[in-house]
Parts: sequence; C-alpha cells; structure tokens
Amino acid sequence: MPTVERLTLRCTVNGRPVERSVAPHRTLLEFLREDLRLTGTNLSCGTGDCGACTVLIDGKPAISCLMLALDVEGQSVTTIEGLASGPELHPVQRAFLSEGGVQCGFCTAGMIVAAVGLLSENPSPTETEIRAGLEGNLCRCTGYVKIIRAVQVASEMMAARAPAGSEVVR
Amino acid sequence: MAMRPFKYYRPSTVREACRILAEEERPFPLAGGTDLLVHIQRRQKRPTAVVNLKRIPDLAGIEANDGWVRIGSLASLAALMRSPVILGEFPVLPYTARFMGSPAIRNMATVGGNCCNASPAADLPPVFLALDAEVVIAGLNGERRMPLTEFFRGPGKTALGRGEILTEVCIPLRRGDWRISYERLDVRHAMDIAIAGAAMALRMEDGRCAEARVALCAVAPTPIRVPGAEEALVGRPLEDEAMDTAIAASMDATLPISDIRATAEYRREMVGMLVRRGLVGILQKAGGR
Repeated sequence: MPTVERLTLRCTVNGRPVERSVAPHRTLLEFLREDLRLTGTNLSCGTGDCGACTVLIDGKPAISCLMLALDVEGQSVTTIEGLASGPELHPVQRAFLSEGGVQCGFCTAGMIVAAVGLLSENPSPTETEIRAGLEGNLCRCTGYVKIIRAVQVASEMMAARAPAGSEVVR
Repeated sequence: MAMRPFKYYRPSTVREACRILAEEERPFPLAGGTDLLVHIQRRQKRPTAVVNLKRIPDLAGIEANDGWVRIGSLASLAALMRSPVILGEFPVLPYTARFMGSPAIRNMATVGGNCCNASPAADLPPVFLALDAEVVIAGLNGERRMPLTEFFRGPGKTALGRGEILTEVCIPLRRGDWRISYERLDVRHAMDIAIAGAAMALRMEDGRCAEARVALCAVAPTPIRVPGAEEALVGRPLEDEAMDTAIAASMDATLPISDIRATAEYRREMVGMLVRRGLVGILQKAGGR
C-alpha cells in the first residue's frame, strides 16, 4: 500500500469557491457527502447504473460515484443543494412537489439534477426525450409517470418565466 | 466499496503521461472513469497510481483532414454525438453511442476508454472495425499506428505496452455508396451491455456489393471482423444466397461464452439474426433509392 499524500483541490461547489486537501482515492461523491456535508446527493449502486448520485459538472450531468474528487479541479459542481435561489426552489423542484414526483425520495436528488441538465440542453423536451434524458436514473418506487409529468410541468414553468426568444438560465 | 489509496497525477502533456505510466509500479490511465472506477472499487484493478489524462490539451478533438476523420481518444461519447464532422460523415457512430450508458455516462465516457477497456461487448469497436479504423498509440519513443484489427488481444487486453496511451482513432473518409449499420441485441437500450452486436459497412454499386466489412461484438474474446462473411457478399447482389452464406460465416466465426446475459448458443443464433437484420436494412435502403 503506497503512502499517499493528499492533494489540494480547488473547485466551485454550488457557486462557492472550495479549497480542500483531498486523498486521491476519494470519489467526488464521498467528498461532497463527507467532507462538505452536502448529503443531498445519494450513494446507491456505486457503479454508475442508477443515477442517484448525479451532479452537474460545468452544467452537465455526471455520475459523482465514478469520479475522483480531484478530477473536478477548476470546475464547477452543482448538487441538489445548489439549485434553489435562496428560499425559492428551482422550478424542477417545485414541479416534483406539485406533481407528486417523489415517493421514497432516494432517487429524487439525482432525478431532479438530471432533469435540470436535460432542460438546460433541451428546454422543451417531448415525453420521449424526457424518458431518454432520465434513462440513467432508476426509481425503485417506479414512480416514473409522475416524474415525467413533473419535468413537463417544470419545462412549462421555465418557458413561462423566460421572455420569448431568450435563453433559459437557471 | 471504498477505494484503496493510490497516487494521482494530472499530466499536461502526452509525453509526461507516458513517462509516469512507464515509471509507476501499477499505473492506470484515467479517461472517463466509468469503467476504471468500477474496476478499482471491485478490486479488479489495484492501481498504485492513477494518471488522469483529461487535462491534456488537444486529446479530445474531432476533425477531418487529409482523407481521415481523427477522433481524439479523450473525446466523450456526448462529443461524438454532437460533432458535425461525425454527424456528417459517420452518423452510425452517434447512432451507436446512443445505446451506451445514459446522458450522464456519455458526458464522461470516452471513445478511447471504450476501446482500451477492451470489453468484448463494447459497442464502438465493431463499428470502428467495419469502418477500417486505425489507432495512434503514443509512447516514450514517439508514436506508432496500427489497424484496429491488431489492437484487441483479449478481454481487457490490448496492444498497448508499458508507458503507452491511445491518442487517436482514425477513420478513412470514403467515397461511393457505402451503407453502414450497427445492430445490437440488448434487454434495455439504456445502461445495458450488448448481448451481441453486429456492425457492417457495404459499398453498393449497380445493385451489387462491391466491398464489405462485417464485425461482431460480445460473441468472442475480442471484437472480430468476419472475412468469410465479407467474401460471401462481395461481387454479388444482396440476395438470399449471399446473405445466407454471410450469416452462416458470421455464426461460425463466433466463440461466445455463457454468462448472466445469455448462453453461448443463444448468442451464436442471435448473431445470425443481427447480421440478417443489418443486411436487410441495408438492402431496403439501397432499394429505396
């Protein structure tokens, strides 16, 4: 077993600059949950199959259990905790609440983050595109119908809020 | 499962990466990490050092020049699906990548990683084989280039030597009426691994097949080309006799295993189905002109 020194990680998490010393074998998920105490992002399968640990890296969905923390050097990480603006929930969060897109809740953080990633790339997805966009996120309660509906509602809410022709920004 | 400690490097040049890979005791290059981190967590790989290649500039580009499309090994599957060059020249690649993982996985996983992981079931390799791809390998003594047919040596084994990394997959641009397809058998498109896959590229000329490539995955220790099937198709119209011979040759070329996904017998049978489906698709497109 090699003696391994910690390295300094500098990145942005939920808009705040972070500088920490991190062991190289720490996953991004472990770093978020244990070092930063951001426990909204869940560990489920640990092999990239379930999507529960989905976060955004520079705005794009990524699987935090299959990334080393040190890999996000200089990058911007957004977790479920970083979606709301102060007391105001993100439209996707509000839609999951209003449409009942949450059952046991274990997949929810990953589902919502993946949906935010999908909507930033495709603000008005069809149902088929929503299903494809969330194909890597498993809900063991099988509450997919309401999850898909929630993403549709969020898309409508975001479109209504954005002036016509403008880019939808979180 | 928590990983055991290893050293971590983030080289900024290919040369530096090769030097570290040559000097460390048990180093593993890290690209997308979607296979490597699973293997480390399962203790199937026990690195003393991980060498992150993602910050090496110019390793993730996709461009066409001098008659070749060059895909940098660090190009993500998402980048492959978005690339105007790829969408224009080889739409079969985005079509194939769409089967792989999920959007988040495709943002991470790389073209080079899909080759170097050398899973017999990887989806891009049979398509690259059907497209006559070559690979560029960098090492401390410079670069070498080889046909992709020589790259795969067994499950998880490639031609990469100590201190070497894959830097590019190169595909020759082609002229003429090429019909290219990838057929995959799976339980679920997302987050699933092929039970069997068949890629083919046929150049049609006056209703006959002038050139043919047939490649398979998940039915042998490596992705394979099937020369017997290719010979059966060339110079003939795509009719039952040529197709049946190509299908039989494809099934004969397999050396499948039985595992949790399927039995060897099933894989062999399904390769016949996949090759038939690919040829019929190509025939219908050709007939529809």
